[in-house]
Amino acid sequence: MRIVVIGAGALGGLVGAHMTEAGQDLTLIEINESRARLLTENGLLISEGSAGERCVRMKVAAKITGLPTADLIFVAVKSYQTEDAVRSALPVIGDGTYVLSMQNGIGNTETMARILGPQRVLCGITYHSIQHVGPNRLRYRAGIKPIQIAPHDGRITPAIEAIGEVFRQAGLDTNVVEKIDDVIWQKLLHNAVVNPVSALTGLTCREMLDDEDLQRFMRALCMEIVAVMRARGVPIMDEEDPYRPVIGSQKALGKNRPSMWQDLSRSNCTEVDAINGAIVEEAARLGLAAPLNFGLVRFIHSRERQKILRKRAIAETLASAAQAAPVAKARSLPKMHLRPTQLAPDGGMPSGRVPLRMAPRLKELLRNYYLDLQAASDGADRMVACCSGTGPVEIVRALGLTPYFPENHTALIGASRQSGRYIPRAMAEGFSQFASSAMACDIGAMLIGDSPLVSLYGIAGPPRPDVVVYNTNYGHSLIRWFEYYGRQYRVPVFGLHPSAALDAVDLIDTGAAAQQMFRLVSQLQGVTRRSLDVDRLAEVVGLSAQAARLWREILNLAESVPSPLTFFDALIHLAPMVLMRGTPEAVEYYEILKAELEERVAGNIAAVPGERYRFYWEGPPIWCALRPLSELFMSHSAAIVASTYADIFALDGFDPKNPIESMARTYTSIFPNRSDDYKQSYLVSRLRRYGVDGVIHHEGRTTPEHSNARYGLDVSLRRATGLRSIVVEADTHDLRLFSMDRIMSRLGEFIEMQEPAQETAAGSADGPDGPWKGNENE
Amino acid sequence: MSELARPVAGLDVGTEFVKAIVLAGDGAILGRASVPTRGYFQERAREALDAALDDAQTAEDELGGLCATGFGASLVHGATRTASEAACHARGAFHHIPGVMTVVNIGGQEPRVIRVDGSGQPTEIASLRHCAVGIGTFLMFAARHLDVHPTQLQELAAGAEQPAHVGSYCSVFAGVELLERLREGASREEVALGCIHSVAERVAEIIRFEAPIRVTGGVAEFFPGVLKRLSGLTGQTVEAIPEPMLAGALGAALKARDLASRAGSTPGAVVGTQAATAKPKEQG
Repeated sequence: MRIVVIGAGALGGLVGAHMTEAGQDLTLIEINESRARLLTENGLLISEGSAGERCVRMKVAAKITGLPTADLIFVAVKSYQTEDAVRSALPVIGDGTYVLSMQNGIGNTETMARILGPQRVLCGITYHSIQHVGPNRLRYRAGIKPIQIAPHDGRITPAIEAIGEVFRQAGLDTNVVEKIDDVIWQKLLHNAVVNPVSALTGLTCREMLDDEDLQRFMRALCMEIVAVMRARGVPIMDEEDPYRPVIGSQKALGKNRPSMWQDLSRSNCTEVDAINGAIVEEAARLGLAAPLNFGLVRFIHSRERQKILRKRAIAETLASAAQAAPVAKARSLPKMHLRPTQLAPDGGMPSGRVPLRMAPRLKELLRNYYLDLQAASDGADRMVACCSGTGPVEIVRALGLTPYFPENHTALIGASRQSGRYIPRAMAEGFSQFASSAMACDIGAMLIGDSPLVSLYGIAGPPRPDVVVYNTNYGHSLIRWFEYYGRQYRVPVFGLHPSAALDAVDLIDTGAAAQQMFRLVSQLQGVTRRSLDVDRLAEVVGLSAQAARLWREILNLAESVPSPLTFFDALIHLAPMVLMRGTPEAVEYYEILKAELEERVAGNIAAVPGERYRFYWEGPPIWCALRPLSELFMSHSAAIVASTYADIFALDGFDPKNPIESMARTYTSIFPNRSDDYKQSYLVSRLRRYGVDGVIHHEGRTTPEHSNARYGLDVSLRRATGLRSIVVEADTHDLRLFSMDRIMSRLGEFIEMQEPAQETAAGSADGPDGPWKGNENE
Repeated sequence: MSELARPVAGLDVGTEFVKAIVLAGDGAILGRASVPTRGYFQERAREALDAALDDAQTAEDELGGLCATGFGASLVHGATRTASEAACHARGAFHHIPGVMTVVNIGGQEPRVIRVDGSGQPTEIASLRHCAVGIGTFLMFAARHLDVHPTQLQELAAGAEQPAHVGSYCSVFAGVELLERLREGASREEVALGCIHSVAERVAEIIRFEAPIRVTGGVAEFFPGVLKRLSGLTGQTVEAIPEPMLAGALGAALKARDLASRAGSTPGAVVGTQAATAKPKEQG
């Protein structure tokens, strides 16, 4: 028999599954295309009671078009969908087709008969209890009574008997009878009493049974319906106490809730019109009053409206919000918009950082440096030395070599957010993502043959070195980086390895360092085929001394409150100290920069307008996130006034009268080369000098040597100074190794914590700008 | 209604649940709701707020302020302010039990230990290093591996005498570790207990704990075994505040109230899209 089941809900699914298993040619119509796909691909899983589950694969279609004429159409949709379902089925309804409804409530077969004529309509009733336990899973219990099918016009034909046989063969106990009007009303009684009450109260059947008030109401409701049934001539199941069987069905349902509750909870329409609504209509037809049923229908409709309208309203709000301007992220709303800012007399930007006049000059300086570097790289008579940032560049310069600094190159890569392109290339070469990401960026760029220098300065790229020189004073992880250069370019690599982790730097240590420097001199003399001019060296060292002293004085200006410069400014302006240490240009630059900053101090001009908080940054910079960090601090009126990183380059101790020995002492004494005890007392004294509110420790994932917090320095520093601190777990270059969102929110939280505890009534918050909206500190 | 008497709302838009509290002008909780987030930050925030307003029998335009906190705070339309999670949890805990204390917030994502001073302000915030974040969510995954609903994980664990040890810092590795325990023959009960213990162990590693210790966040509500283990590890009493999962939303609501009362009778403090139709205020 060709069967089409319209509606792939619990009932349609169950009947469809049984018929398909029995070998009938059955198609299940599910208009939701995703669900139709799911059922087609995964089948329907059904289980009876606690028995094993079986998977039934059926033919599932989303549309009826194209199907051949059916012998039987089984309508298993919700009552309010009956009309549409039947109309949609018209193409497959032929002269001999029967249409069977086994739906809840009353009126479905009348609707179908209106459209198709009475002869083809069959009415059915089932006592199965079926539950959805997943999008394609059903659990069911067979009814206590068999399924009953009756023709709408009361005339049983052989074809109808055959349909009953098909059901029985499919394992569904079924009787074909002349009329089922009575049993329909008897089932309706249960539905009409239990469904709406559970739907409105949200209670399970068990809970309703325990509620005296509800039971009294439901009993009265039952009797109202029974009166209608009696007037119709329907036999009452339990004449003595018509409500007793309804108690029974509540017990049977137990902790479940009926379908009307489920429909409402999913913000869908209910079948109340076909249940209680039909009772009200029938009562009116019979001249009876059904006020309780009438009331329930109104309540349910109201609830439907609330839920469905709410669902629609939410969807609309979200749809229109998505089209509107993006939601202002309240947290990042810059505070400066709300507070009066200090305007520089020469017109610094009112709502942003106050830029230093030196900035364009610096650009010019660096541009010249890189052009010269390019010339040195191209020139046959010039040589380039790859040099570490705190390496013995004075010797390099004195021998006429032009220094190039991979650490500076990688800082540029990080700051220009190119890390993501280069690190994977280095990883493909064999470097772990947990090895220095700074190194990986630089090496990756080298291997790809690309560099930010190209677009920034218009040069061909980093130069090809003739020799590589490093000093492990900044850390031992440098060694592998610089040795890679040596292998890559097949050039000699010369390293200085001063004694490390020193508490005091005594003569033995400086002696050893000096010896290494002498060795380096002779090695470089070999490479350059020149001998070192000691006067030239003294000159260079003298220039380094001047630049270093000026840089130190510049950093000291940050002790002013408010500070004329921040950590982010320092990162930009220390470039000459690294790239041009030992040249007159660097000295000249810092003289002018210092003058400008002194002018700021005199005019009380702050780098961070309205400076409220002062912090110290311990650890390397997070190069790959400088801009968002700088904006975060600016938006909180917080100034990072000092840092270890900038301090390192205030190299103290160069003496032109004793160039090698003073270099040995100076370079060996830098912060990263010292013991934890030294680091701690150094930091304690710096923190006091700068008058900071708190300390930010950057624990770089790939910079273990500079992640002092790993060894508890933050804790001991806090104990020694009483200052609050935060450990930010991030990295210098690799954004994948940490959560930017997380560190931004933690830093924001840390800064907010500095706000004084008691906000006295009125006063501070209601400043000249009045009460304001946004990120309030408490 | 004077500004001080207007109710306010706090929303904690978390990664697992959105929590909402409606607070009366005098600080009493009028309504509360929590809704699973499942990635639908805006929709669920809306639902939670509606449900709490419903519970409180309050209309949205009656609110004198709305403060949002949590992972999705920036997505809350109509918030009059946002606040950090640590500050809100500290405030929420303080509201229940005033006094200097250590608040341990264990929610879906990052567990935090917050030292709170005598006025309810955070003075120190420490959280987990790196990989062991996502702690509450880890327990959800553990429940899935153990084929129980997350609300039944604690019950399952109660059936074990000993925990099957799960120790990885990384929540992802820990997920595999628990399967290894099962493969080795540990019972599901023992593994469940091990997972619950591991959460406490990660929290205990954050910092040295100072009494009194009070716990906020959803984990305390659904997995009380974590607190018990934490108590054992720290050697101190560890107790949850009442309604620990709502602490953040409560703190946020309190902050909304602070802002509203400071703002005085400014119409601009009215929340939401009904701002344009604000009723004229009485000057108190």
